[in-house]
Amino acid sequence: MNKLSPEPEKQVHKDHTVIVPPNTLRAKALVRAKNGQQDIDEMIKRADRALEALAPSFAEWMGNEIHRLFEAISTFEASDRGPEAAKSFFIVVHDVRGQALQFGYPIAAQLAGGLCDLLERQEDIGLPPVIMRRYVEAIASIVRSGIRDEANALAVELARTLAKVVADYRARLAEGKIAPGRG
Amino acid sequence: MYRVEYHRLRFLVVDDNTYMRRIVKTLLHGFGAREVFEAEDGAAALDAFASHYPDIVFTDWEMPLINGIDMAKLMRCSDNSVNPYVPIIMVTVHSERHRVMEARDAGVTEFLVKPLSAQTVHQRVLSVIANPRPFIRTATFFGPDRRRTKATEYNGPERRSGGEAELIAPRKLAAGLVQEG
Repeated sequence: MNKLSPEPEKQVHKDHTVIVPPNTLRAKALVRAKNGQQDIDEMIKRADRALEALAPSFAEWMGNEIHRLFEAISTFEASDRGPEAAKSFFIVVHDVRGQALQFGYPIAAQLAGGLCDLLERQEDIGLPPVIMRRYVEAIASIVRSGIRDEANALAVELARTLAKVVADYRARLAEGKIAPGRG
Repeated sequence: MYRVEYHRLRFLVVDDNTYMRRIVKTLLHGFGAREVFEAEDGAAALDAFASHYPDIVFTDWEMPLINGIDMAKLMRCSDNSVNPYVPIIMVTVHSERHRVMEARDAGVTEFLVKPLSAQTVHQRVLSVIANPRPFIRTATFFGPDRRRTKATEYNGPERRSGGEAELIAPRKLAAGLVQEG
């Protein structure tokens, strides 16, 4: 709120204060639509068209994200694999998850989401880097094959295999047959 | 029926990913916005916030150094914040309930889950302009009222004293729209 703005209205109670800031944005930018819903629909269509104009670049952008993902796993593998290194890797995987969703690669997004979940619990489960790399390779394979269909047989098989690898690892960990971080 | 004149608004888009910044910028420009500033992390965003006085902030959650949650807290609660009431729209893939609660507790105004579309982005912008919630300050929280609706079926203890008072402000805001409409 800059110095020229009116003061907010306040109602002070025993344990909280309710503050109603002046609605400067409504005064500034909300106007009656001359043609009603039609005006709004046209504006939304215009913005959707602008977004669609970017779509031909999505495959290239996703390819660049995959390159970044491989760099991140290599950095993680070469690190002490402590919480900070895991967090840095997580941020990249999480980015890839978001980009995959936005650019139309739902299975790649799902796998990246699965890896994010595992990384968030890394201190407890100590997922070995070899399994993380399998995730990265599966995501890359899906993107490079241009698989956007959620029912694609190859993608479904990759997701199923990874889920089994993680489940096996966790079972052996729970049974005390391996130490955390050993695949 | 109201429309938003985007060209009258100034936006700040915060995301460490250049492609996502481009997506949000493209949508805003598509709506007619002219002033869209960018920042690639929370620290740069705080600088841009102080120098550009954005009307609305779009931010990613996960970013290096200062993430979107910490950035929102600083925009809300820092002593030298240029606008502690700025609408903050969190753009993320996190849709889990505990994440939404965490964002809400940090003072985030609206939550926008990827993938983005023109419709969802416009809905959030319209919401923060046409139906802003009052702000609440307690010993441990400052941000938009976390109670969006009055839960008539709730029969637990009232955690705020003067529980009726916070209903006055939304009525006033709604009355303003009706008078103009």
